Amino acid sequence: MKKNGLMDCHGPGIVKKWGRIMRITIVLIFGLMFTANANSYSEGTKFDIRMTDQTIRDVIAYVEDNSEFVFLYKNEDFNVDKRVSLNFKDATINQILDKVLDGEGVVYDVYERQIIIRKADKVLTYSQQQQQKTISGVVNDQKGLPLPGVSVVVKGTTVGTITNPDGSFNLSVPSSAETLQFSFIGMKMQEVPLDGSVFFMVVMEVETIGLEEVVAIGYGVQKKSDITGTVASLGQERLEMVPNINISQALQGAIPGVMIQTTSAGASPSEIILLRGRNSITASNTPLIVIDGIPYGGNISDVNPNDIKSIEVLKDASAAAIYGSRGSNGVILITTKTGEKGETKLTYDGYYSIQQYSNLVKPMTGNEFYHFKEERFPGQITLTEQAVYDSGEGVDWLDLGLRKGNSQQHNITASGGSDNTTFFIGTGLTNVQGLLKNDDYLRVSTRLNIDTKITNWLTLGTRTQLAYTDESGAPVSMSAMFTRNPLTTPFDADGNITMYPWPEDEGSNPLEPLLYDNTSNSYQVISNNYLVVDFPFIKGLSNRINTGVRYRFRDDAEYRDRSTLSGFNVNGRSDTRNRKYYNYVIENILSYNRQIGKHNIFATGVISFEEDGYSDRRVEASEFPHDFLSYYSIAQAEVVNNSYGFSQTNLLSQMLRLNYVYNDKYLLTLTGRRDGFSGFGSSSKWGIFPSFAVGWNIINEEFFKWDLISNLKVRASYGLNGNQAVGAYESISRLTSNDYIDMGITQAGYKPSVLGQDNLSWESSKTFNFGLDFGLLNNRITGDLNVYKTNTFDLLLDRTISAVHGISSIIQNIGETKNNGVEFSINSRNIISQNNGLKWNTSGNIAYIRNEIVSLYGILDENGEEVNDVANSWFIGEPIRVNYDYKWIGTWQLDEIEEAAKWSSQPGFVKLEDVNGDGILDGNDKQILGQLDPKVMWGMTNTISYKNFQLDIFIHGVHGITKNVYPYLTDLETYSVIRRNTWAKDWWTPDNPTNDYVKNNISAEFMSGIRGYVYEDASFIRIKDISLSYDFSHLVSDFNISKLRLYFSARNLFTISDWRGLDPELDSQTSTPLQKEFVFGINLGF
Amino acid sequence: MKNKLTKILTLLVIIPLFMGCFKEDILDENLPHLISTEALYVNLAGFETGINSLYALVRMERQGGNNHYGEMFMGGTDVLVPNSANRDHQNISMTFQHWEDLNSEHERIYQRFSWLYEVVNQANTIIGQAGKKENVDWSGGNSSAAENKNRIIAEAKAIRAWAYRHLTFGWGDVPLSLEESLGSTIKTDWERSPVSEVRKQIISDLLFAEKFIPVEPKLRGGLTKGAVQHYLSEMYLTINKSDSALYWANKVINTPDYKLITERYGILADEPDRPVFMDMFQDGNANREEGNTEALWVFQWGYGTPGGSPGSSWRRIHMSRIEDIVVNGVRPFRATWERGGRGGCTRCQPPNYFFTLFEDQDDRFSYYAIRKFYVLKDAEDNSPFEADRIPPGYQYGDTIWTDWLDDPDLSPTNRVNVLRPYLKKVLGVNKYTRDPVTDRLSYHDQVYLRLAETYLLKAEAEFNLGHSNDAAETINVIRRRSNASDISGEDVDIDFILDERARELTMEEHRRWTLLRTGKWLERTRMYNHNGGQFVNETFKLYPIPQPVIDANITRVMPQNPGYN
Repeated sequence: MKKNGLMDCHGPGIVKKWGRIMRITIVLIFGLMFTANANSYSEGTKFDIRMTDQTIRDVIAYVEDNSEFVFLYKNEDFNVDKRVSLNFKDATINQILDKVLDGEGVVYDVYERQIIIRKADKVLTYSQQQQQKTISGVVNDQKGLPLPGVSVVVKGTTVGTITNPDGSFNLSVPSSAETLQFSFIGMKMQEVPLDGSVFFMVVMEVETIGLEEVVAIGYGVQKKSDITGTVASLGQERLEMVPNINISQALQGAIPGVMIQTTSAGASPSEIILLRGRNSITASNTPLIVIDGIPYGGNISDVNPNDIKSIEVLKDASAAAIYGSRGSNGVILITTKTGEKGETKLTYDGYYSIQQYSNLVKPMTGNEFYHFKEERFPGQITLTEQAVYDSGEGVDWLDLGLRKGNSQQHNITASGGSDNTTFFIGTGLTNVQGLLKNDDYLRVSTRLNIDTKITNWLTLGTRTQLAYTDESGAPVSMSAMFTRNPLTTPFDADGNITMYPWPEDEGSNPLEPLLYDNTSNSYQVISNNYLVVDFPFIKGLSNRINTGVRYRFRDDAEYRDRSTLSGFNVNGRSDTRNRKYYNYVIENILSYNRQIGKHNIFATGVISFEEDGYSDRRVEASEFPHDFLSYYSIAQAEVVNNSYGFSQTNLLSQMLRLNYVYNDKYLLTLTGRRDGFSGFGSSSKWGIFPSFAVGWNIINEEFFKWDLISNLKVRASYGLNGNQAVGAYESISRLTSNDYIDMGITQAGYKPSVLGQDNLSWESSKTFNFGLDFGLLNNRITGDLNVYKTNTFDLLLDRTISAVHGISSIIQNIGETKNNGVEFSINSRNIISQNNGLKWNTSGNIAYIRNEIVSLYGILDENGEEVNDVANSWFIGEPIRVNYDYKWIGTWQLDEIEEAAKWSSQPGFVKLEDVNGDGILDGNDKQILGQLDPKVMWGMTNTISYKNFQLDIFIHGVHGITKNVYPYLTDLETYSVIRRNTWAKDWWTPDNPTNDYVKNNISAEFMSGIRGYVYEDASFIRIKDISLSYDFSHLVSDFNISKLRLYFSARNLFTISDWRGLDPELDSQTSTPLQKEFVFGINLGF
Repeated sequence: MKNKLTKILTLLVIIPLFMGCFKEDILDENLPHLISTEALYVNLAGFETGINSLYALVRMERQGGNNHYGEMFMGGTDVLVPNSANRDHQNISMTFQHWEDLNSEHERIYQRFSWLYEVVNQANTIIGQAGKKENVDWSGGNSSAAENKNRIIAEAKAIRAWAYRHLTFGWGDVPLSLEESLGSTIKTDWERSPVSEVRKQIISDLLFAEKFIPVEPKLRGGLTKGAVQHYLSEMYLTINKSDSALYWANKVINTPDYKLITERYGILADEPDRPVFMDMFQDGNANREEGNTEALWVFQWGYGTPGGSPGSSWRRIHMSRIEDIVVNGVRPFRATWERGGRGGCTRCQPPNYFFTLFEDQDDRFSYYAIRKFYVLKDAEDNSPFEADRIPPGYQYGDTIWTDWLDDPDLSPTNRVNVLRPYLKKVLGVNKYTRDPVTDRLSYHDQVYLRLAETYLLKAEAEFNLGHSNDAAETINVIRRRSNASDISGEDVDIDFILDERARELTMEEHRRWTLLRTGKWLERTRMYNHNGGQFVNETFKLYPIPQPVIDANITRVMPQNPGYN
């Protein structure tokens, strides 16, 4: 979008040779090594040119086609359609231009390969001169090098100029001018207030959005146009559009093929991340997360999203191949913000939000419960239930346990740098009070990113983060509140939480956790440091050493005193626990990056070592002499249980990658990685993971001339990735403790628990990916399309073996799955800013995934068909996760008495489908009732801005998923004499012959002894975010404030779904509901 | 200078590139916190841990929450029927009232089958490692190295025999595994060995064990020689060798250290009215060291101590949910030690028939042995627990009777009766106990096998051999202890012996196995069990081979038991 900055300020008519201009940009931004011989090109390039009666435009085109020159000019400055004739031999560009432009009133400047044609300065009239003043300045890039060719325009006028080869400019401006706009392709447009100054130092920053962005590809960065693999980027816009508590919230719906499912909501929600669906049946499907080059195995919520500059997602085999045995679930690369040379910038970003549940299906009220129970089991209402009923005050447990949540976040950053050192320092505080009482979350984090160039060949840097989180307080249990009897007493006469809210029952009070003395803190240090050596004697060769240390310490303690049921039963109960997680990485990366003529070579070699581990010290105690000292008096507890857990893995890797680009057209990537992992079996410690990819920038072909299309690239890749999902020690036969006791003294015992496999190894995925990147209408529309097929084999399958072995499963590498998918993403600038200031952008993405099990154990039945694993609901040819159950097809009706009786059933009872019609309801009548992973996911963001207003609307959709609505549509969990609450339903009665539900009867959910469950479509479309902001920057520039933006966002405002449960996205339908959130925020910069 | 720097730099970078700098053994896994068979079984102490684990595994018979493991061995019989409204077809108690729900997919059947083979594998591992390893340090304790080694193998073999005993009674022909399972030797072609062959192995293992297992166990909870001899006697009865059965039963009975309890003893000895019979079921009285000379094998538990928990569900599955008893709309009863605490769930309760078996003066029928009524108590009587809640029209001291013989028997139309009588031997708790009364599970030590049952095996052998008078006299030894009247030879038949076993051993003996051994299961279950018994047939004499076991036997068909698909 910003690319249009040039067009915006110049108005229509600027030359649109995007491809060329891009290349120039690249050279300027990334190819600084070539500037040494820059002057020679214009002198050394000679033309033989012979043209008759051609337009100037044709001549320019000819020159561009036959050289590396690129022209910049405005159509209105001279008559581009003027016809000329030329006949030159061995002519320089100056000779040709002198001839062509003669008499047009324009002059030209040649900067290396860039030629700028502009109007010769007009002679101003005296009266005009009086109103003018002359300003001057210098424009540099981030590295301090002068930038020629930058357009400098007085905002809102056509008055402007272009910087000289030394980056300097002179301009006469009207005295009424207020703001200067600086723009250059590939750089962010800058606006600088005039403020009466006459000299300006401007630093242009690389624009990171759009075609020529540089993207992280793992162990290096690459121009997007040179990339052959499938790499999707999440830029700062999405990250900053609305505030996110963690990274996955920002990713949801933003990148095709990335599924983020909120499995549990609350103050610190948890999400699962799947890239391109599920490849593995039992092993982990979580992608590898890499932060600033170092694999991150920590908690994603410990990373402050405000620190993040960009996120790249490596999806295909070629892109992920550099992570070898860990790449098959894809890789998410996170890059944090760094400082830039120049004046120190201060920013403050903060927001405050209030939260309310987005949907809540309340269980029965006391009144409804009473009648439900009376109908089901007449005479079972107890005296206290009756008393509560008579008082007319049933308990709304949810009302007691839920609250209005709120969250706030404050981030302060300082960034800047001198010639050789840049820094970014950020501190953030996030404080969330979730919907459930006591569900609190506090995170304080600090980031320190420093890069310093010590000599011209040596650079050092650090990416260090400190984080503290506090999740103290035991939240009330949502499922307990859903199911607890409403005809009870939550508080005693003094307002204390009752131990037995229902005196006649053993159930505890769902509010009891509010009485626990609970603390939970964690502390994390991540320090990733690097050293880069650029070899002075071999151009393009550099070596980088990365070291990473991550250490997380978590400290939990809880005491339940005698006022709680669980504490009362055992005279006080404590649970204290310390956990330590650590990770060390050391990497040596040698890279060579050089343009030799038309050949661009980028070779990377890596050696790395990683150690990962944790330990877990836990003490559980009970029988305390008193409650005064909480868990601090653990030494006095009579019953104390100690435990200590430990695990450690090592990973050794070698990687080689070659990227080759010929003439910006033909791209090739070859990658190979060799991984040795301690968790693999002793005879299979090492694996090799090769891949290759090719790309073709069709747009750069001379023959490709189609004005509609402004970018076109095709890519194909094929490669082998691994899923190193073997846990530590999985390959070794081992014992587990199984103690006995004698006179109160533990007698240590051990029993066999795991049968080892010497050859246990990684899962392998072969992925073929075909991709297409395109841009239309001068890149007003850009997008990409990817089609892929992944075959994963040697699955780490927890295979069932005969129980006669004494152990009934063993992890082996067997079986195969297949994933086919299509992903499409598009960005469209529907309305680009004209003079009225209105802009409208739409970006959307959609992904279709079909996964299936190709093979399991390789066992064939008598027909030669491979046998399914029915016990695990794994079926050949079907998706990995399916619902496999009896189908609920309705309710036996009054006119079906006889038919129902055949199933020892009766009207009002559930009717399950006898699929094979054999009159017996048994395992053969189970069927696949939809899949548990979605088939289609999409996301769409619309951004509409008018002047300083901006409106963002983000919608997310998930389709083709079916889930069990349990326990919403069942009454059985109320237990034998109705001890629990359930949800009111439209129960079947003779007068209400519904097929949607059964009658209120303990056996009604059974047919032939088999219980029926309801499965429903859990597809949904959710308006995730609506955000309205106003940028006050232009009003406050007088106060030395560079940025002031206020915004208001609403999150999870509205969901469209047929789902009858709590929320189609959540795993458990009795967990914390998803929250609706209203956010007010501010972005401030100095 | 600059040149030198360059060279140093080059080295700095190039060297690590070629570093085999990490030795590959960095990828070898050391298990500082985990242990393997090879590392563990190197000395006597290591083998003892294996034996401890074996006992912990065996103890699982009385473990579980709602699904008690041992229920499969005693429930669904003439004297133990379910008393529950639920119909969870994966719950064995529920299955005992809906036999048609019994099929090869039954999770609990699979769970128990797997557990028994886990015991077998643990025993095989010990036996195999002890037999094949050369450099084991067997020294330790007061015994010689050879004695230690033999005792370890003997205990493992006895437990293996114990597991195969359950397996053969439960499933008939079963695969006979005698080797330690290894990842490299996974078998997909197991074959079901004939029952006779498996029982030969059982006897062979028991005969070996009998030679080396001491009369008094090394640790509480260990096997005694008497227990091994007892199982030999029972196994010979099973294969119709009553003379051998008699021989081994006499071996136990004639061991001077094993004596029936005929005098009051132990922690409640100062409470005069209690019968002799009930003392050994009290927490603090179960073990031989605590005075229980009758015990041959005692399961050990301990609240809150590793190795002592998870607790036992033996009480839970039998006793009534007293907190659910409703009197005039009030649930009056507090969980107290006297009442056995909370959490009863009535999975296995006697039908009316059982209560007709006793003479009035039989101690085994007394209030102390059977919960017949509850008394409403005030705070003082319930101390340290709260006072009972008084239902309208009642006062403290009033008695609330359980549903007795006049009431309908447990049946499909009379389930979830929380006011049924039950045996107090499963309660175990008393005023000295540490078991939390609010816990659903129990943590006190429990007699698992006792001499009284050996007497009844002896009587059965004598009866089989035609010595009815001897059998009567043997039975009278048991009866006299509980004040039941003497019987004579004419009274003795197999049904009488089974009735006597019911009086003495209900909730202790493996009733289902006993009935199957004597060929009486179908007949007596149909006759006396009206909540499930009406649905039993020939098929259900054996449990189905679990489907996963059949499915995992890829390269050889494992036949199912007849009657199950």
